[in-house]
Amino acid sequence: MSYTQRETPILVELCTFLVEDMYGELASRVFSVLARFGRQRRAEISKASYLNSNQISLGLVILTQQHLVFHSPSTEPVVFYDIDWQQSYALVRHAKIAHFVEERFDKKTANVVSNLLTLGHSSVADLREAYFASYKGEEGAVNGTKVNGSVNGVNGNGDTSKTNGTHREQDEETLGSPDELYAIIQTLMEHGWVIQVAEAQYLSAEDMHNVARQQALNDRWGGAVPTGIKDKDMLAHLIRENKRRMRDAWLEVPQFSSRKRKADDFDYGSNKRTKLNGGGQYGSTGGSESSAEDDLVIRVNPEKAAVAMRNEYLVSLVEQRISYSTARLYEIMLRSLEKNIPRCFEEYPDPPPLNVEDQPQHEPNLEHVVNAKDVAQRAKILNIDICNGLDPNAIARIVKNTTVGKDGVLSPAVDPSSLNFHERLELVEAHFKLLEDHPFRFVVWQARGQYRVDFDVMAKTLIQQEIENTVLARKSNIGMKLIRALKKKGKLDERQLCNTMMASPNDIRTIVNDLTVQGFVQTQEVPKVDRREAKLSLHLIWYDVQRAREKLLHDTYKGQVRILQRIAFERKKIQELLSKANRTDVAGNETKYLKQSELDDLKKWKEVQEKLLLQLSREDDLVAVLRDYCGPLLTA
Amino acid sequence: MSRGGRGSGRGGGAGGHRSAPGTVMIAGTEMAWDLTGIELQKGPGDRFPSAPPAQAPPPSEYEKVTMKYYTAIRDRAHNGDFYTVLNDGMKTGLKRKAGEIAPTDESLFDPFLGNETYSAKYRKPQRKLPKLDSRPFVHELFPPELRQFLDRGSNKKKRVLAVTTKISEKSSIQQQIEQEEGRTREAEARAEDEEEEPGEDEEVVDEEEKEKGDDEDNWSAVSSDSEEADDDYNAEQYFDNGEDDDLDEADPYDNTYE
Repeated sequence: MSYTQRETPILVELCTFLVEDMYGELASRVFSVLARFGRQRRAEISKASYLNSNQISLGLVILTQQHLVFHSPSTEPVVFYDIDWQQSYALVRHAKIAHFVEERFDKKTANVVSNLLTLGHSSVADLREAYFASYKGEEGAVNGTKVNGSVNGVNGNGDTSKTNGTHREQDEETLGSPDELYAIIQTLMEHGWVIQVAEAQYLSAEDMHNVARQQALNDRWGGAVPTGIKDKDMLAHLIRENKRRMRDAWLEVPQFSSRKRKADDFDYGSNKRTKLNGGGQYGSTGGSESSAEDDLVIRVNPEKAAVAMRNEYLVSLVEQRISYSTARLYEIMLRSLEKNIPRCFEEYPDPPPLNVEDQPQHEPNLEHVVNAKDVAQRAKILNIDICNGLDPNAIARIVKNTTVGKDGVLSPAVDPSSLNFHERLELVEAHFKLLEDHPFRFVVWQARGQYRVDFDVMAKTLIQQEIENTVLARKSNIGMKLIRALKKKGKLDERQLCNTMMASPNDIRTIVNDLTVQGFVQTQEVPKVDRREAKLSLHLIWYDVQRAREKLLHDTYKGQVRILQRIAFERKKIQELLSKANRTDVAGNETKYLKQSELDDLKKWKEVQEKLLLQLSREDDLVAVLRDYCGPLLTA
Repeated sequence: MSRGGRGSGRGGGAGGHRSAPGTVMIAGTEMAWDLTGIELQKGPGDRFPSAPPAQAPPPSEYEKVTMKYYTAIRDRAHNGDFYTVLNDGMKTGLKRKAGEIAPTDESLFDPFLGNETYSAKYRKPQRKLPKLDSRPFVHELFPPELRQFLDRGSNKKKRVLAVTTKISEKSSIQQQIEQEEGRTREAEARAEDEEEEPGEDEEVVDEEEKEKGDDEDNWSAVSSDSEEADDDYNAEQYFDNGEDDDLDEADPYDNTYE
């Protein structure tokens, strides 16, 4: 069977839908050709598609601008294009990125980020022009009011109190001066949310490997390919090093010239805006003189979203499993680490040494260490009730002059704000003890007063937990029990499995069959004699996390495709009404031109769409757990 | 002997034994089980019991904000210069299979709704090709063969990126729904007022009519409209009126010209 006759891979379908949803039909048609056939030249795309070559070129321009395709380096005579799968899938996450940024910084920053997301990449100068083109013209007018006035058109006919409300909100969102924009960009770059754009970001994995290899050859062997095992190992090592260096160069923050340093305000991801507003953003003169960093081209860092998603997910787990206050303290801890974590896992790791003795037993990452003292201080600033969620007896032991009564209530009650520093610190450590004792090992004790977060270890636990959740939801307890037994014991035949699980073969067989068909459990047949007979062979059952993970990821992608198909169907059902509602005369005065039934339909459509999109973003959380938090799990 | 209030005759057994109240007779043995008030299912269970599909939990406040961002970002992209609608009846960009005929304009035409009407001039223009001459590009990042496309179009106008200064812009549907809800609330409030002060009824209506002057606008009164106003297009009413007219009693020459 030829490749084109086979079913389209699910990720191709998903990403094509996403591109169409965001950038329209032309972009998605070109995308679909490239996605179906892989790395291609423009002429080949033209050949495989019904579109003409002009359309294809314009489609490629859109895709390149939005970083959805790679292209080979411009030094080469022929340009090959390839899909950037990570970035294409990341279209689902645009809203999440904007929201994360709003939560960590403020609305203005979120505005800059969401604009960058829609623009793909942009040079700082262009961005400044776009924000302050009108501003520059009306320098004489009162600062900022012009911008507000033009935006405010929609809300203008509300009653006065309402207008005031929206007005203030806009002040929170609208940038005051170019200086402020620079400050925001600098902060975002320091925290790793925005990175420089380099041509190397357009290299596909293959091209990147070739470039890194050539560089390594030139540096060390003068262009000749080395022979010999040691040299080849050396070459592989150098290639990885080159790749890492190339990638880390994007994250560097250039020295911004003579800008106000406001970055310190954002430490620990505070979402308190009071501190920020003290800076007097409107006081500075509207300087539109060109600066050194104007040539800088920036974009949103695609890897940072996964880091933030991981933190949010862990915090929500703690909130579910331990307590609200513990979750808030954990959030403080993770946010303080977030600035220094550019990505969830190293994409180009050095392989572990071959002989077993040299292999290190999971060396801890010392960058992921937090002082309990810092957390305690921060908790006081944010006014978190650190006594909540702890055992009263533990509190009584730490806080002086309070005892636990017979009913388990502290007397006199402890006021968290009146505690001294030492007591607060010990209470925070008591929370950390809870985190440490949890089977997930949310934190690990590092040294006196210092705690570490082992993200890599936890990522594996999270994957296992998601798989177990899925099996539990689809099957019964016994399915999950089976998975756990197999994970603990490795490959087992049926009799051993029955002994391990303390269940009868009849109970197990159906479950094993079901899970095998679903791809969570594998079976293996080992013949005992040279003939292949069922009676004379061993039938082993085993469980591989990596395979189950891939299967579940595949299923999740499929679920997302179904959601997008459903949205398209629902939209098609009321297509006429939607195009009527979007008419230039109707938009804005819907109540005047549309009938009641049409308004009801629109409302219903909106609810349906919101529900489906919500589900899409929830499934995206699952995708992140399964795909983005750790690299391939290899089981030897 | 009383039945002991048992709901079923299950414990009765084949021999016709009657058990004492508070006991059950099973296979000739008296069990001290009090089954009073318990509905025992006698028939076989449903083969396919109805299982409603699992419902996702409603959005949290946090998720609602994320959804708002999603629609805002997407709306912005749809209003941007890159968004295109081809409407050519194809699903992917792949070449048609051999023997498959390309959809023509006639085959894509919808004879019921596709006809150009006057209001077509208000329709939102749809782009077939992206508009590239309105925004600046960073040329070095594009492959050489695509760079010529970036410079196409008029060079007179200055190229400026499109940015919004406001992110939490409500989607148009959201806006209109809120408007509508506001109107409903107003209408309800008005109705209450009217009930309270029947004497001022006419005045209120008059005022409203002065305010609007537009029939379509006044949707809250539609139901009464269709009955009271003389709508010539209502076929049922046409016949109803015919029945109601009592020709015998009326002056036959009343409606005729003289």
